[in-house]
Amino acid sequence: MADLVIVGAGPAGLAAAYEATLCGATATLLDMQPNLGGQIWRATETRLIRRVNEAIRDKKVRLMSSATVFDVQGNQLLVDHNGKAELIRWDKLILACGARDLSLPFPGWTLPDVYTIGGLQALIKTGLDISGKRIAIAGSGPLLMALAKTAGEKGGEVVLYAEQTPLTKWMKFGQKAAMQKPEESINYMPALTGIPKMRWSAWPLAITAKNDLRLSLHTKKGREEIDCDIAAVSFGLVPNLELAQLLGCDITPHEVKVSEQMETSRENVFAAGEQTGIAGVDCAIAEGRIAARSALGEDPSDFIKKSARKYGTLKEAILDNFALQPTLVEQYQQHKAIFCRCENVMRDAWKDRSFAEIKLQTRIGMGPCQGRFCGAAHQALFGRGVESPRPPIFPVLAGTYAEALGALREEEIHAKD
Amino acid sequence: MTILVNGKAIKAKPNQTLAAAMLNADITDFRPEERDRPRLPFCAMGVCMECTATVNGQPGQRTCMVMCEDGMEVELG
Repeated sequence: MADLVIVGAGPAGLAAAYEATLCGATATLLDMQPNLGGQIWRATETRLIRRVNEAIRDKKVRLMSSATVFDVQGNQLLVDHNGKAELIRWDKLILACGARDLSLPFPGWTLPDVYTIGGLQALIKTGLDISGKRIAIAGSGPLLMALAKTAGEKGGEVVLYAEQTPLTKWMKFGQKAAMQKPEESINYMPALTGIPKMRWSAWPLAITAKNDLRLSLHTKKGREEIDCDIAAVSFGLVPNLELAQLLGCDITPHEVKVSEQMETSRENVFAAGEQTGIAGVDCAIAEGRIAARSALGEDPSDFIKKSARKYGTLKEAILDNFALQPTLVEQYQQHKAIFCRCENVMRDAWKDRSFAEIKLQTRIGMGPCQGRFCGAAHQALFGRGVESPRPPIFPVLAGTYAEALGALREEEIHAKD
Repeated sequence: MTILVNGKAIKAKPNQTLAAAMLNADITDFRPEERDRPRLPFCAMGVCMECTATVNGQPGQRTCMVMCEDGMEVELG
């Protein structure tokens, strides 16, 4: 058994794994993606990735790719590893499961060629050909800029950049980011010049499809129509909290609650990165290092001090500067649109009902995404989301589940002998 | 490289996901068994479950997380 088990091989998980090797410890690193890097470092080589690859070659880190944790029993993770069931026992566990896009339903969001911001980014990085395609980018958050940059670099024509937050707040955040990472901020400038329509306090009202897509945009000056081939829309990020919830860790809709040492409310379970509040890659790396050190009993206090100084106010700044505008929320509460993608359920008059009630009556949240999309949307728009997840936390073949439970049972039997 | 989708060959390159290769090949519905609307990749990070297909005989594979391999066989519907 490795000293540390880390779920998630994005920047936080990678940083934790590398830090473990610096402390002379071993780590098992799991990720459901086929490659390392998480979202932000998809198809990217960084120094940290190189270092972790070296550690893997030196057998200090065991990498399990295409490995999805679908249940936890006792201190064993039940993992679907390329279709085979595996049990991974942990002594110290670090959750670095990252975040996903917050997708708010509006008419047309389920049309072909409409993606989330992270979704289009991932597809472009893994080979989607967008040369010559007109791309409309809308929603909220710093990732809109990352997509605009990638899309431009890969031959797409970005025809719209629509951020729902007001320009003043966007610039406030931009200034903060620029002060922290001036070189990186400058890199984004070329991506934004050349976009014919940049709008703030603007958001999609609807997308319709004929030969191409038509995005109807709410702006302060009225409704605007933008024609495009591809639309990418997301309103920020939500952390992937399902595993933390299953483990019984205290959470809020925005984060797993952790101490300064990155320990959750459950002993020996730590969390790092977007899990603990959206704050970007540098904070994720810092938190990964702190979590590994804390878990291994190494003094993390210098790292904690440094991290607090650099990133102390960043999570709040993101929440504050990209908060959904009340007018947007009101509009989106009333959209006549499919609310649950999986089960194709239209939104109804749900304002005062709990998510669980609506789920029982309409099937929202009962589909394969297990409420990841409709639950997060419901939380953002109506203040109430998915309550407690039930295993499996990802769809898994019954045979694989049975294999895992069978293996657990065998261990139990042997333990008694 | 070549990937077979319902027996029909489509082109793919190394470091491409199945989802990207299938979208490039203008496949318009990954899950025709769901007859409500065309189902296509959406989140491309394994959480929305829209892009699933049977790959080399294994059902329920998230094509956004499957790297293309020469001769891979995908069954839709």
